[in-house]
Amino acid sequence: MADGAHRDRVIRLVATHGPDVTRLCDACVAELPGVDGAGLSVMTAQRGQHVRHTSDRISARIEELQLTLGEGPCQDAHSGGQPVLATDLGHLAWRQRWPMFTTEALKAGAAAVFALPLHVGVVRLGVIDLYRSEAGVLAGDELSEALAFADAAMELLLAEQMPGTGERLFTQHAAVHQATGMVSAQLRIPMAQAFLRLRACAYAGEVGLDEIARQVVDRRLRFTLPEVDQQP
Amino acid sequence: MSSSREQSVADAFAELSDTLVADFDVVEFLHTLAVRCVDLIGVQAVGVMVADQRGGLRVLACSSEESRLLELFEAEAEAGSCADCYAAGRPITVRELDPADPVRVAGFRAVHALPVRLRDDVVGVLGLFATTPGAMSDADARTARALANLTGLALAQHHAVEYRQVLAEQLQHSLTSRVVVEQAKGVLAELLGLEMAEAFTELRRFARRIGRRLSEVAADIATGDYPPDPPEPAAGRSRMILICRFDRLVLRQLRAAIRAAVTRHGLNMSQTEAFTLAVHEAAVNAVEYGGGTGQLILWRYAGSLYAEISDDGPGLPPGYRISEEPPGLAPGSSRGLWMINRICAGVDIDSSRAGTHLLLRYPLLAAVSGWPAVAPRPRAGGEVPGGTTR
Repeated sequence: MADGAHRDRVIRLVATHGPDVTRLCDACVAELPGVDGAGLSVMTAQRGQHVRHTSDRISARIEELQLTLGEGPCQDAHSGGQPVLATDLGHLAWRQRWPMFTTEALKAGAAAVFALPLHVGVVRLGVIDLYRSEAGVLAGDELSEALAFADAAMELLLAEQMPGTGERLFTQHAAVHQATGMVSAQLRIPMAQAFLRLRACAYAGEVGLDEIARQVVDRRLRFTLPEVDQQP
Repeated sequence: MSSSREQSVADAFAELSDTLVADFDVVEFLHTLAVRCVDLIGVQAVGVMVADQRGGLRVLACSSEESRLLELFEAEAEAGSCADCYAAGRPITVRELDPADPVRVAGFRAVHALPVRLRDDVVGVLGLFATTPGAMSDADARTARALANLTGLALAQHHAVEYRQVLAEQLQHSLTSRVVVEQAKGVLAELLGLEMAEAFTELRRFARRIGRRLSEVAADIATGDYPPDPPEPAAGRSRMILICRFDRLVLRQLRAAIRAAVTRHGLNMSQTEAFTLAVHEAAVNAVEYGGGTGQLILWRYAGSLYAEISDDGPGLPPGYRISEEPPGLAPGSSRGLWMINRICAGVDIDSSRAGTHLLLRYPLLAAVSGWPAVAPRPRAGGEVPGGTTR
């Protein structure tokens, strides 16, 4: 199936370029003809939003601008949880949306920016910004390939946050997200941590994430706090 | 087509297109569409799937949020008639499912899969499961096609020049919303002891009750109230502080939990005591008069603390009104409600035989002196939604 093809592509990207997410970003630039550079900004509980990687001077400028100006495709992708595909920064619509960013980004040499959020629901790991020096769309196949890179980057960032949990657990079934919500409530921890705990548990038990998730949703498996329950 | 049927089709389309005009929530809209689809067509389950731009299909809405059905549609989206329909870009009907097919094992006999089109693109699939074998009637097929077209319209609200890029953004956004809804369902299922379908119903009820979009409320529930996030939510968002069920045995702990939770949100000592008293009093009422157990949702939104205290019935007497005059000293719910009404800036009662939902608002910046703290009252008395008066 086509869906399986995407999954295989993500697994291949992770195996070829991981575990270093910055190598993956460079591979993305090298493999996608419509992309001239990539920047990765990540969110961590400790440091907030910060720039993790930029492939060249222009992508460095794009990341820096968005952090200092507080506006731009990356910021919007992060807050909206959806890709922001700005195909022509010179176009009035984008100029009105980010007046300062578009001016400076064009000056720096970027004409189009495609921001892909690395989100799993409310679990927000970061955003990848791809730029190109000429205006134009990220055509059909290129968009799906860019999304495969984004999915692979997400896997690597998750694996980094919980070392030793591997990266073979790619899945998007509803039960996984439901179980993540249940674990978050059981342990009273943010969704991002709950997601990591669920993955770690699957890895430790050498079962798939789907199977662990089903056990949680069916209430056959429960994550518990070590201390005595104080709240009702 | 009988005239009563024509009427219900017309009503459903009027309802759905009215929703499309307003600032609508795509997950909730497609859920409603799937439910209407079951009402109107002779099928028993409906799933809406959209292209994930990675070459596959993902489930965005279901006529029932029951986990088992959701999983059946997930499997269909990955490899089944719905996946085939998407790949081929044309309707696919399986009139009699193979006895070993998981959809058949679950009790269905036929599957009808319709492509959801937008201009030249197939952007999703409307999947219909029927418990009777065979093809759909012509009338049903026409209605199904119209509903598939409406699904396409809901998925792309803008018709910009770079239409495919905007569509890509919107499809991804709707998929993210769906994930957020699943995460929130998990939180509610755990905290309120609900099945997944019930958790979705509760999420939807709550979002409607407070007049906010389903996905936004889901995001707030899934995000929760965790440091280092500031207690003050971003503009237009809320911070969910406490969600739990309670009974008589845990009332004391509940009071402590409410106090601890609201203290973090900047109330001074007398305000904390007053608001805690009001919420606790409502919880006592729920336990005393509402079937012995209740549910509390406590959150912060737009400069106020809100609490919704719910019970399971039998509901307040019709025409019930909270007295403006101090009641006698006899214990009873009217005394509790009178006091709650004195403390809170807003008290809103939604009561039916299925239960009472009491919604309290307490402004965070109220200038208060003395005890019990009395917050400013924007209006006195009056009609409230839900058929009863306070």
